[in-house]
Amino acid sequence: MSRDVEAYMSPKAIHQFPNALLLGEVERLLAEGRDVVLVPKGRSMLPFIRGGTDKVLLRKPSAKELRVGDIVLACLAEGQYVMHRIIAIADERITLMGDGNLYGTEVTERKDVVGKVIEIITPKGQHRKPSRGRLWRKLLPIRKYLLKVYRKWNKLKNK
Amino acid sequence: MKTKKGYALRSLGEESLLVPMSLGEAVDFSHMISLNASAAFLWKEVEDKDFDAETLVNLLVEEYGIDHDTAQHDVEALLQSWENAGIVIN
Repeated sequence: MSRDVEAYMSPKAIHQFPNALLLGEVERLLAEGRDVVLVPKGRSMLPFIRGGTDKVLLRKPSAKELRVGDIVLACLAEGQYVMHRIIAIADERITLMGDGNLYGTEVTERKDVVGKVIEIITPKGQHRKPSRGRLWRKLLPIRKYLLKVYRKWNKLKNK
Repeated sequence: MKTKKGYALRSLGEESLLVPMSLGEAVDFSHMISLNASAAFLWKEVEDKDFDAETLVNLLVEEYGIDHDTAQHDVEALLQSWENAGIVIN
């Protein structure tokens, strides 16, 4: 069976990073009980996860094991995912906030948490357990300044 | 040459994802390869078989009715990217 010549596009293989579409696939794999490694994007989990640099190992948590301080991947709406830290739990309602964010929280439900960060993997291949961010959460009132210092220090380090 | 074992082709809209699937190991999306329709077609045809560039060229010509030169040119580029990605073994 031949297809239309018009429909032909040169075969291509692209190495690509997760986008919303891929995260749907990540959710399915986690639900199947597979662990997933990916490189998160963005600055919203600084200073603990450096978007585009660090990898994270994700696993589907049981609904009961979620605790304040966990970093989780949650599906907020169809095709809209966020990887942030749990800052409050009230029954089924879970409130998330990015460590690198100064304002703004997301409210979701236990059932919409699709994965939990088990390990953070640096580019050098070091594996570490994510901190629970207790102190970082307490320091929210001065987070703005801490992030500034962190960025300055990082710039100097990378010079 | 042969395709490397341990990948599952999962379709994702127009594209297909080549997902590393070693049992008991994490699925690593940082090594994820996405294939467009014609590349996915070729992958499925030659998976777990011995093949060479000519095999792929013939498959493209047969399936899409394109001319041999275009197919050859495209296959060269594709094989280069497959080799760079480490998903075929010579």
